[in-house]
Amino acid sequence: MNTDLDDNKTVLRVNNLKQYFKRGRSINKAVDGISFDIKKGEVFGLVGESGCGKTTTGRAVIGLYKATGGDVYLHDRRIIASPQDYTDSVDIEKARSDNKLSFQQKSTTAIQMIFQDPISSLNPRMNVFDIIAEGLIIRGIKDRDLLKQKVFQTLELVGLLQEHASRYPHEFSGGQRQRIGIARAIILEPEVLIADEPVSALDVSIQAQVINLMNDLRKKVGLTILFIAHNLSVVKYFSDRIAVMYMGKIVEQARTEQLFAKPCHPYTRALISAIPYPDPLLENQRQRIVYNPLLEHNYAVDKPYMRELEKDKGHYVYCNDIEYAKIDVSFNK
Amino acid sequence: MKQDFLNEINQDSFEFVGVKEKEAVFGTKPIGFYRDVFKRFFKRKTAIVALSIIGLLLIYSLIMPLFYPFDATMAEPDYRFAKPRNFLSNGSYSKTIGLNEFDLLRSIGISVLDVDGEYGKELITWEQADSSDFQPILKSEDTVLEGFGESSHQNGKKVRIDSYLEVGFVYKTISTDEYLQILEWEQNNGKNVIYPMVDRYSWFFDDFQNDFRQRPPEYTQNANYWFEISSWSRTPVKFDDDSLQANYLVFNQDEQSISDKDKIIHNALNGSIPNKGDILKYQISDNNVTVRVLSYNYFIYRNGTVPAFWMGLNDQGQDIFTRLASGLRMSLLLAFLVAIISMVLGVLVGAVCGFYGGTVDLIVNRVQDVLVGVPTIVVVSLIYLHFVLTGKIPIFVGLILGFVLFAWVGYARLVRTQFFRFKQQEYVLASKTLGAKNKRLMFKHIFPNTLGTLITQFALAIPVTILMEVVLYFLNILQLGNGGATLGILINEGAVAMSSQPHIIFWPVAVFALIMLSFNMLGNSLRDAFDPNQRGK
Amino acid sequence: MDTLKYTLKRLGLMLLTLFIIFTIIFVLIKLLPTSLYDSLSAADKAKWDALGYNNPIIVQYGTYLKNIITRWDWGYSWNIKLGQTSTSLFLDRMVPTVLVNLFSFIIAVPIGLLLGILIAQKKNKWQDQVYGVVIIFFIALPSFVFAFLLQYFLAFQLGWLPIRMEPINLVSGWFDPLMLLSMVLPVLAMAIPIIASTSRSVRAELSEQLGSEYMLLARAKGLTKRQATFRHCFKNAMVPILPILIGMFILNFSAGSIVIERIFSIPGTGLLYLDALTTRDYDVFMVVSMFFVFASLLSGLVSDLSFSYLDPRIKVR
Repeated sequence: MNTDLDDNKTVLRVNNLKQYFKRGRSINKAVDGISFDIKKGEVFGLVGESGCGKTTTGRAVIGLYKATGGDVYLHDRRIIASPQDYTDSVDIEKARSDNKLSFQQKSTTAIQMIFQDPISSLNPRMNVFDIIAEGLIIRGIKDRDLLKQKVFQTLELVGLLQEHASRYPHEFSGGQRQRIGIARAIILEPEVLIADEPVSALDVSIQAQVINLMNDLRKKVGLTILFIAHNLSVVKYFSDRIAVMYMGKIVEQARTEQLFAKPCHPYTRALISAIPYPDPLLENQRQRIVYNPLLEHNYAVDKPYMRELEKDKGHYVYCNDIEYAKIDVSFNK
Repeated sequence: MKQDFLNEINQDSFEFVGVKEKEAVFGTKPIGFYRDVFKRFFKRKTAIVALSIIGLLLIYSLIMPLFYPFDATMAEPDYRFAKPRNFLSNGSYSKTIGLNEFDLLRSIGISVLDVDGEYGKELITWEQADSSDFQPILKSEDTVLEGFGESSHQNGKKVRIDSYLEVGFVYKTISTDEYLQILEWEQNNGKNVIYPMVDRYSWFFDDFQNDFRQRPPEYTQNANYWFEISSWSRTPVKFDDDSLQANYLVFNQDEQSISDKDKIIHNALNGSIPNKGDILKYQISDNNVTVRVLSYNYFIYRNGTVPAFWMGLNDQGQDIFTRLASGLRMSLLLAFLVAIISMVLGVLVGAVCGFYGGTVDLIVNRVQDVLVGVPTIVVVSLIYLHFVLTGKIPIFVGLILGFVLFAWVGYARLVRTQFFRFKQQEYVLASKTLGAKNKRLMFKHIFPNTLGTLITQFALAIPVTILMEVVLYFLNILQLGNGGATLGILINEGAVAMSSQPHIIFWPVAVFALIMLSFNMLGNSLRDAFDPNQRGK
Repeated sequence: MDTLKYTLKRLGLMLLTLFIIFTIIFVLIKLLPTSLYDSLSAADKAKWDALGYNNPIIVQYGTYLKNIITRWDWGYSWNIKLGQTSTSLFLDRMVPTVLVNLFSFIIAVPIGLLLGILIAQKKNKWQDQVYGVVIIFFIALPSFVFAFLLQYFLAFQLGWLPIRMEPINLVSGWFDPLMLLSMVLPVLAMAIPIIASTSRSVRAELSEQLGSEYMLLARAKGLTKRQATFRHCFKNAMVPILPILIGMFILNFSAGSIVIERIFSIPGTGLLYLDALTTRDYDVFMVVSMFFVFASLLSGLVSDLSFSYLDPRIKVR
């Protein structure tokens, strides 16, 4: 477990989060015990291929799913609680009091989310004003003028005009809709923003727009972002630290430059090898690596766990002893 | 080599163009979802047609009876055969009749002109009879009647009869006061109501039997028989010049044999005791008198207007127009109430099931399956028999109960499926992250998606309910006691008499068909209007 | 394997539902007031008591159920046809209903299909427009309206066809020409709605298929319009329609239409149902009711199953 309780800049801490889904009699372990923390003001990227559990992670953290195991802490408050693991020894009193606390804090809007699909994430029957103002209205703000002021302010922040507020979602382009979604999230002045593949459904040129917007906002408003995506080049551009997920587990986690400089886990290497480059010469030379977990690892005896690399602080890899030894050696070269 | 070329280009000659995009202002007005639906709806022709028909029906059932001279409780058994008299038809019909009946009807004209019973003194010709205002036979032509009894060919007439005038004369028993009132009315209005009485109970000489016989009951009851007959089949006695022999009631009592009571009546009505040989216009029966009235004028005397029923009368003499209007009102009201109540119930149940799922959903589903399996007819008739006939609840409530019991299932299932479909929509999740509670999610976000299909279902449910109700009344499973009318009852009455009196069934079925058509069209165009695939077209 | 399990599950549910409904109807009808008993002759009264019809309802229920399960004895008719067993009476009455429905189905379905196919190919041309207007008429109006019209014009006015059905004892059998002639009107009246809804469904589905992209491909490959329509579109279009047709078939086949039977005096199951209800002929009523319920549940089940059978995309839950 890599937690840094003493670092008071940690905003969000995810601790051994598990999200299992039951399908008939089989259990789908979408998220299988992941832990990470996000520091204030940073962009934490969570990448992986489709189906690896990143969206589920995001939704579990924000409370849309009932977590099967693990906790999530916002600053020092626990906001997501779940039935404790059998493996942990349970302190009944502490568990009870913890649970009570998390109940009270259930309705926290300090974490907000931007969704992937710009079409279905906006209610087609509500106009932009209503969509953006909904969060405030739920909170209890009824003063029309105050609402207007806040909504227009936010619209401006995301680069839209006041005039757009009376329009309906179907009248906008994909990029504009995403910006409406962003506006909806940030008007509540959240501490953490979970961006669930916000640009995956957009044209490449628009992707740049939206990412740049998010970057600006991050500086202006001071957002902390959990950026979930599967496009590594976008993540590389936009994140401070990155965690790579595979089949519900984090296999590697490091600062961006660390990860791209020296990817250790075979899956990370496979992912990076798949990034196309806009340079035709490099493209011609690029070799694709395919990741086959059964061939790569032998976890029969030697069990893996997440560990920090001695030779590269801040860089964590999920491996067993043998693999760790190999990695360690590779740093000497 | 390419690499070198690239290196040669001066980096400084490039400037990063960070375009701050300006958002374009929209040129059009914003359109809400519902306004969009509205516009789409009214573009469709079927919608307009449907609404107009429904509007007409409503006007008919609610407003037109106010303009109609007769009300629903009236019953004129005399006019049982009255055909509709309106701008489309003049209340006449065609029939093929035998010669005796022909003479009977045609002679009404003679009898009308013979207001004092002076017949014989001044012969009224057939031509004069034909041109009388009260001649029921409008047109006639000779024809041959086929296959009647032994004789396979008989002469007959194909005639066009005015159903109002064919009533002709009727016998009425009235009080002496009313007699005098009628006389006064006759004076004031210049119309003749009371006509010479017929000597009904005297015997006649039957040519066939060659003997005197009592008159047949049809003769004694039908006031149109004013002439002498020569056989039991009521063949009129005709002279060489084709004229008929009158059979009026003649006073021939001796003064002594008149009872005092009768004397008083005679004095009151006649001014004095009639002389022997006078033709009487009344016949004393106990303390009242029986008279022979021209029913058309008698009607005017009693009701103040001529008989002209816009949709005719049924075989009990009840006016179809007003009954149909009130029946339509009831049926529509019933269907509306059923639809609304079952919709509210169904929406609530469906929303809860669809949103929460789980055991509640399972149980409700099982209940629904059972309900769907039980035939509506059974339950409604059982409710009727158990609760309505025993007087525990009025029939209207019972019907509503029975229909709602089944109708809510349809709405619930609809809402439930819609909830399932939209529960996982991203904007619902988004609202949840904004902090929305379940209630808000359900009704502000998910529910509006159901409105379209819900309203369509509503529009389509109305004809279904009416159909069920019509079937139930038609099959006589339900009965309304007090001569009340619903669509089903009217259609039932009409079906029974369809061969002889087709007009009785015509308008009720026509109205019924219009309802079915218009609401179906309405439902279809609503469905198209709400179709989200067409948004923005 | 899954389908089998699903079918079994559904059948089980169906039995359960039938059982519940059976109980409900039984109780409700037995609670109805009746003077039937008093009008019976002394000998019949004795039989009535002997068979246990005067026992408390629970006991009657138990006996009735037992009789059905052990001997398939659904009791006797005490009013409509005194002394005959309900089941045999029901079977007798089923013949005319089945015949009329069968005929109307045989006539209506092919016509409906043909009509639908023809109109689908003329999409948006004048035939389609006319059809669209006319079909609303035939779909919205229930069959008895047409029954009235037909009866009035063809039977009463023109006298071409008999007004109502011949009583069976006056003719040589069900296929006697006079009998068949008298069936024409009810068959027509029932056929009209079937033609209307079949043709409408076919037209809707087929025109949707005709406009789809794989049709374009088929034509590009070189198939003639007829080949493409029949080999591809038609099968696909049939998928949603066939199950509904099958369901309708089973339902109408057995249950018939009470109103039509009343109008044309057809001595069928519908009228039997009505008579049994009004005269409180309990056992007969139970038989007929349960059969109707069974027919409707069965038609639903068959319809669902054929859906999943015909469309490989729909997997049974």
